[in-house]
Amino acid sequence: MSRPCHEFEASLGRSAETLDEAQRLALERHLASCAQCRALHEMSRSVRELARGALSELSSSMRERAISAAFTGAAAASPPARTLGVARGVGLVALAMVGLALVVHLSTRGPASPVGWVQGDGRYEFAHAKVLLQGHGRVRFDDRNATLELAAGDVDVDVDPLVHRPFAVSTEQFRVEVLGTQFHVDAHSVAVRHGHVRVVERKTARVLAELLAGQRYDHIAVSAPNGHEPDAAAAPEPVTPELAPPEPAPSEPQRGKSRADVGSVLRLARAALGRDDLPETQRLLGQARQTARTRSERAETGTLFAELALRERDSAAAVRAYLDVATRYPELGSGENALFAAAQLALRAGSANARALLERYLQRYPRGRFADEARARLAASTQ
Amino acid sequence: VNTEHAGGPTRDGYASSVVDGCRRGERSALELVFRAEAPYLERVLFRVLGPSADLEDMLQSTLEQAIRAFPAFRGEASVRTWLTRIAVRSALHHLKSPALRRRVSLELIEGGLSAASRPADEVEARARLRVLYEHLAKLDAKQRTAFVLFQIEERSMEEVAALMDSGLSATKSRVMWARRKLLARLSKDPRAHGLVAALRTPGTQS
Repeated sequence: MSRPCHEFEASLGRSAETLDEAQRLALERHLASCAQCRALHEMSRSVRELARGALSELSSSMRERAISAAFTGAAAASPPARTLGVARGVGLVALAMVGLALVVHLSTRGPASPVGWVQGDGRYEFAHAKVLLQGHGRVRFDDRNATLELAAGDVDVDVDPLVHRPFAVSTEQFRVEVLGTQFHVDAHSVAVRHGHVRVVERKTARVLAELLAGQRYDHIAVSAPNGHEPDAAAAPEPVTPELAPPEPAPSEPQRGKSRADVGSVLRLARAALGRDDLPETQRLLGQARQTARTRSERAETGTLFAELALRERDSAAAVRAYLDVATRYPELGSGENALFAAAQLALRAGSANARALLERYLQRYPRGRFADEARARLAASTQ
Repeated sequence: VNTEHAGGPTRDGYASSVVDGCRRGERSALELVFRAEAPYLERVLFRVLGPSADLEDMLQSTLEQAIRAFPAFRGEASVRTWLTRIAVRSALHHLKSPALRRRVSLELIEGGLSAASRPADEVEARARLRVLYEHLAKLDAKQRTAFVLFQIEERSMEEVAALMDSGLSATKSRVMWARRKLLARLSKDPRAHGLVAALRTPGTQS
């Protein structure tokens, strides 16, 4: 009696060399009598040949760019920064005074290198981080995951930016991933003084908030009413200034978490560019470049760099920046705009590349927003 | 046998000092591994995702996750297998993201076929590849990934299951359903005639 079809599932469409002799013969016999399996086998085999014939490799420059960007991304999602912190909560002022006294007192002590649970306020070193434990604190460090578990009290963390390793502090409810910052954590809240942290719910790994300097996350306030996600506008508020004043406030209030952060930084950068504050634009764009995660955020950042170069009267740099956006994000509106902008700049400069850029624009976006204009300019340039 | 802790090379030939360096987050060690493995990871990502314009981003995302996860790498699998698992997980996550799903970049398809093939064949192959990935994009992300890893990458069912963190029977079922759905879709699509006709040509079995 012939074997049922399902016994051949793992052999259908496979190349002969991946099957042993017995499997191959059994498959051939089955295929001779089963049209359905024969069709599936042949389809799978053709799909394999077609897909394997396609080249997949990125150019070496794209690969290098990806490798380099991975380090930048990982660094942004982990270290830099040094720390100090700000206390908060019930009896905040008193605690802060005690904490400050402890900082002064303990800073004269050498660092400890504890293993297992650590109880007692003091200054410790865990891997590449200096930690000030306060408020009758109790912590344990998991070296494998570079995670400091906070069971009681609160901590100030100072992570060595030169060691490109992640560092995290976890409480019972959430986990704070260091994205390059000075920050303070207690059981229910996080306050950021410099840089950038991500707060992740421990049970679900859901990202609760991403905070920039001057912002804070309060887990009770966020989770108590109906357990909603932290609201972009509600979650951050100024860090309490008792111990250490927050960084100088940016020109407009920073808001939100994750995406909203980058979005607001980009809006601030555009506003700074609008008032010709080029150093501030440069600073904000540097910040956006570190934190932009989506293609559209990166494209917008690149476009603003191009516009900044234009304001600085560096046309060559502007063309390079526009072309970079056009090449990397051709499917986005920013990519289309950037290609046409580069062509216009080249035309204005009388560059020999202008025609090629306009032709490339029309080839890529034959019905694009600037297609008519591009055709007109091409026609004019041939006269 | 894991030879790393004996001070010898790992199973895929990396010196234990290199792997230890990666665990410590040393950039030079990580770059050495990434440069060696990137072409392989690109190929896996490309085959799972199709000619997507996001290949560079996906590679970056995979390597970024690897940098963060390396401190926890125990050396139970080879570095390549471990990185491939991260790449497959990233690809699955990407495919499940509705906004990013199902976008097929014609530009990359057109630049993505072997330069060795003749122009006429190339045009036909491009068209078939485009059709294939349009239909693959309609499959469930896990079915598609299992099918690609098993059928195109020619990994064993056990390897596919391990790469996808799934059970063996679930993986077999995904491959089976993907195969049937794909055949049904291609058979109904007149543009797939080149592909389907080739399937039905007698004597083309391997």
